[in-house]
Amino acid sequence: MKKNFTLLFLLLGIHTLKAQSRIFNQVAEGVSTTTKTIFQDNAVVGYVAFTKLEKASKDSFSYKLTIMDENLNNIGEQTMKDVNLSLASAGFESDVLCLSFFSSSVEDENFTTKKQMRNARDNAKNTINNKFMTLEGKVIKTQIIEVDANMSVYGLRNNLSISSQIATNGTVKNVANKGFAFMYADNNKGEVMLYDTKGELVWQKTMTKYPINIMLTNSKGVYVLSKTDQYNSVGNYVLNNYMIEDGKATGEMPIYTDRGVTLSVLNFELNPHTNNPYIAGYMVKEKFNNPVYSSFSKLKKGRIKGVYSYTINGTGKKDVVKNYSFYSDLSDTYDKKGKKLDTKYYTIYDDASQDAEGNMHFAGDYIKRKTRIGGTVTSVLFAPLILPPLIYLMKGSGKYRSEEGVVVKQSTKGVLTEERVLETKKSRYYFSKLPYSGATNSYYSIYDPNSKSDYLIYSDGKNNNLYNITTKKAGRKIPIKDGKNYQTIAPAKEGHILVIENNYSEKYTKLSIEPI
Amino acid sequence: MRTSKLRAFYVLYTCVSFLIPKNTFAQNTFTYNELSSNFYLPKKDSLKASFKCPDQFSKKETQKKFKEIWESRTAYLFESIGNDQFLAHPQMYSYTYKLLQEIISGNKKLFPQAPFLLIDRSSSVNAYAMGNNILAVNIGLLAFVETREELALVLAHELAHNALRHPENSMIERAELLTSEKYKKELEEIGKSDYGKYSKLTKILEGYSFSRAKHNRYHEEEADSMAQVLLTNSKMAYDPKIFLRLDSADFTYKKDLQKNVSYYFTKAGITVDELWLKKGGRGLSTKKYNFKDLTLNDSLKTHPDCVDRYKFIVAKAQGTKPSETLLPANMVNEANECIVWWNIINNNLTASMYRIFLEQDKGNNKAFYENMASLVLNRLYNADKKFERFNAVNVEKKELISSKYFDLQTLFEQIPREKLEMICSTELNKPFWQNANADTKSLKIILKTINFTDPVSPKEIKTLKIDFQKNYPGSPLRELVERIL
Repeated sequence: MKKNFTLLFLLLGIHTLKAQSRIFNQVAEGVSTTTKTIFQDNAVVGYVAFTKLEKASKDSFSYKLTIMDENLNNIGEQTMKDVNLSLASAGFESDVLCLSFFSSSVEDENFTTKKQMRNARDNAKNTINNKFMTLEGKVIKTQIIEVDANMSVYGLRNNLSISSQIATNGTVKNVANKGFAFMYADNNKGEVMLYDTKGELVWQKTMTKYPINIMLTNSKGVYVLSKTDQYNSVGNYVLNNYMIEDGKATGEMPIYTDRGVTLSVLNFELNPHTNNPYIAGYMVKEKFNNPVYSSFSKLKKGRIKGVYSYTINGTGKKDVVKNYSFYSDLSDTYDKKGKKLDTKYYTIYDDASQDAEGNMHFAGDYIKRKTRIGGTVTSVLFAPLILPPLIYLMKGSGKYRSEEGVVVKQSTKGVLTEERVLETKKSRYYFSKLPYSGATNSYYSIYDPNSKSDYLIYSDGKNNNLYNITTKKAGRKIPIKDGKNYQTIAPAKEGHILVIENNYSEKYTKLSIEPI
Repeated sequence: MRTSKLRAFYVLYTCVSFLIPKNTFAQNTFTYNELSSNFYLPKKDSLKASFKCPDQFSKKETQKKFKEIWESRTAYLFESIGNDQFLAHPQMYSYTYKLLQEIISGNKKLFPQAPFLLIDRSSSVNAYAMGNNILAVNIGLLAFVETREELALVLAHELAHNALRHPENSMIERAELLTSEKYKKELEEIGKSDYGKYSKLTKILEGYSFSRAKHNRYHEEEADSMAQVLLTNSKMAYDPKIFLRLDSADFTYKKDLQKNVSYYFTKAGITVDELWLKKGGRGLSTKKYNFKDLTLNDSLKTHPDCVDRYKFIVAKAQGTKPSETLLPANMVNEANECIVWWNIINNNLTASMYRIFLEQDKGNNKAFYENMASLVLNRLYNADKKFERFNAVNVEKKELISSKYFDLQTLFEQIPREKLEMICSTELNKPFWQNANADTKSLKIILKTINFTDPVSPKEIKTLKIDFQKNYPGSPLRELVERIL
C-alpha cells in the first residue's frame, strides 16, 4: 500500500494536503502494480510493469503498461482500458511481446448479499487473455481462452468477495524464430499451444490436468514437467514433450526408476551450454517419500538414497539420458544410508546445475549430527516422572546442524565426487525428529555467457556468496546486512545479478544491476 | 568576430597554463568552507528569519495553505543548502554579484536591496528566481554563456521575475486554488463517484498544470520585456543570442567526441579491449522501439519558444548591436572543473568522464583533468566493490546521448573487474600524484586503502577520515573523502 501511495504521488506530481488526503487516499487504494520479468531464450531482456489505475465503468478498468529495458530504463508507456486483468507472464520474440493475463469478471467486486454473490459466481466469466504487442505498444492480436477457475468466497456476511484462480497460471516462453509456447491448467484440463509472432495459433494440445506444471522450450520442443500429486509425495512427476513443428506429443513419461525410490525434483531447467532441458534431484526411499518424513532422524535412517539426473536431448523418449548415483553403489565414499565415511556428515541437496559436458553439480548443506547428551541424562534421571522422557522421545535423541556447504559433482557415468566445501555460517542445532523443509542455506545457479561459466549463489544468512563452478574459484561476498541495509540477490540481464538493497528505517529500495 | 576573439583568448590561456605549476584540484578554486552546508547553515537562523511567510490572506484557511506552500519552499532551500547543492565560489559569486549590482544600480527604486545570490552546482544551463529576493545561478549556465552580455540578459530576466513577484504570485495562486470552493467541490464529486476517480483527479490537476504553464509563459514574456528595461536603465549591453543557443543547451551528452573513446584511454596509457565497447547480451535497450516524443506538448511548456524570445528582444532593441565581453576564461574553466567534480561527488561517473574528454577535445590538458580521470576510475572500482557500479555508471537510454557517450557507458559497464582493478592500481602510481599537493597525496592513500586493502576495518576508515579532516580542514577534497569513507 505504501508503494502504491508513493506511486500515486509520482503520477500526480502534487503534494497532498490534509483536506484532499481522503480523495487521494481513495484513488491510491485503487492503484496497484504488478511487475514481471521479460525473458527471451531464458535470458532477462526487460521488465514490464502493469498498473491498474481505476475502475473506469461497471465492466472495465484503466491500466498503464510500462515497458522497461534490461537496465530498468523506461522505454515505453501505454494506457489502456480493458476488462479486469492481472498480468501472469511475459515473453519476447522477434520484436514482439507476448503478455499473458488472467481475467475474472468477479474479481474486485463486493457483494452485499449471498444471492448477489451466487449469481455473480454462476455467471462468472474467467478467461486467459494473451496479448501480442509490438515495441511501439500496438496490440496486434489478442487471443482469449475461456477457463474453468476455482472460485472461493471470502469476507463477512454483507461484504463478500470472490477470489478466482486456476491450477497453473498462463506461462509464456518464446521459441526462437517461431513464436511463443503457452501453457496453463484449469479445473478440468491443461493445454499447451504454440503461437506465431503475429499471435496466430499454430497448434494446440490438451494435456491431462495436474496440480503443478512447469514448461520449458527450445528449438526442438515444448517440455512440460507435471507433479501428479501435490501433497502426499515428494515425487510423482511426469514429463510430456511436444514437437515444435506440429505439437506431436511423445507420450507421458514418468520420472521414475524401479529401484524402490521416489525421484524428487530440485531443478528442471535448460542447460545454458547445450540448450537442452535437464531434470535433476535426489532419490528418496519409497517408505519415506511423504514430505512429513523429512526429519533428520529419517535422513539418518537412509531416507535419501542418492542423486539422479535426466538429460533431455530431444522430444522422443529415447532422447532422455538417465543417470542415477546410489550411495549404496559408492561404498568407498558413503555408507548405504548416505553418511560420508570420512566426516560422518549427511547431505541435504538444494540445487543442481548441468555443465557443458553434461556433468551435474549438486549443491547443498553438510549436516552434522550430535547426540543430545544433556537431554538423554535428564530423561534417564527423571524417567519415573513419565513426562520428561516423553518430551525427550518426541524431539529425538540427536540434534543436527548445517556445518558447511558443499558442491558434489555427478559425472556422466554416475560417480559422485565432493568438488568443493563451501564455507558458510554454521546453523544452530535442531532436534532430530522435527521436520525440515530443505537445506538451511539457500543455493541457486546462474550462467554468465561472457565468461561461459556457471556460478552458484549461496546464502548462509550472513552473506550471499558467489562460487564459480566452472573454474572452481570462490567469487564475491555480498553481505546480507550492510549497516542499515538488507541486500538480496535476484537474476538480471545476462552476466549480471540484481542487487536489491532495502533500507527499512529510511524506507527505500535501491536496485543495482551488477556484473557477476 | 566573437569566435576569433574567443579563440585568441583561449590560445593565450593555453600557452600561459603551461607556465602555471601543475597543481591539482581547486587550490585556487574553492575551499571546503565554501560548500553551502558550511557557508550558509551557520547563518540558518538569520536566513530563516528573513524568509518569514508574509500575511497574505485574511481568510484563515487560505493563509494556512499559503504558509504551508511557502514553508515547503523554504524547507527545500535549506535541504539543498544542507546537501551542498550550492557553492559560495569566490570568483563565480563575485563576478555574478557585480553584474547583478550593476543592473540594480540603474533600477534602485525597484531593487532597494541586492538579491540573496546562490551559486547552484547543477550542470543544467539555468538560473532561477525563488521569490523573496532569492536568485540562484547554476554553474552550468556560467560554463555555457560566452559573454558578459549574454549573462547580463539572463540575470536581468531573473531579477525581473523577482521584481514582478512571479514566484510569490505562483504560491498565492496555488493556495487560492487549493482552498477554492470550486476545487473542493470537484474533489468531493470525485469522492462520491464509483468509476473513473483517477482520470477525474488527473484531469483537474492537468487543468491546473495547463493553466500554470500558460501563466508561466506569460510571466516569461513579461520578464523578458522587463529585463530589457532594467538593462537599458542601467545602460548595460545585452545579447539575446543566448536564447538561440538555449534549446540545445542541456544536451551536452548528445555532443559527440572528436575521437573514439579508446583514443582518450590510450592517451592516458590504458589499453582498451574492443570487446568492452561491444554491447554484450540481449536486451530491449538494443532494439528499435518507438519512443515518446521528448519535446513537450506546447500547451505544457513553461517557457516561450527560444527563437520567438530572440526575435522579441531584438525587435525591441531597435537594431542596437551589443558589445561583446568574454567571460573570464579562468572562471569558465573553473565552472567546468566544478561540474566534473560535482559529478564525481554524486557518483555520476560516465557524465564526469565524458566532460573530461570534451575538455580534452578543446585542448585542455590541465593536470586537473588527468587527476579527475584517475579519480573517476578509482571511484568506479570502489562502486563495483560496493555493488553500486550500475548506479555509478548511470546507464542512459541511447536516444538521449551521443554514440560516444553510449560507448563510454558500455565500457564502464563491461570492463572486467580484474582489469579495472589493474588500471586503478596503475593510475594511482602515475607521476602526477607525486607532483600533487599534500591533500591530494593523502587522498591517494585513502583510495589505495579502500580499493586495495581487504578488508578495511571501520576503525581504520574512521582514522583516515579524522586525519584528513584534521590535516586539511579547508581542502575541497574533504568533500569527497567524507562521501567515500
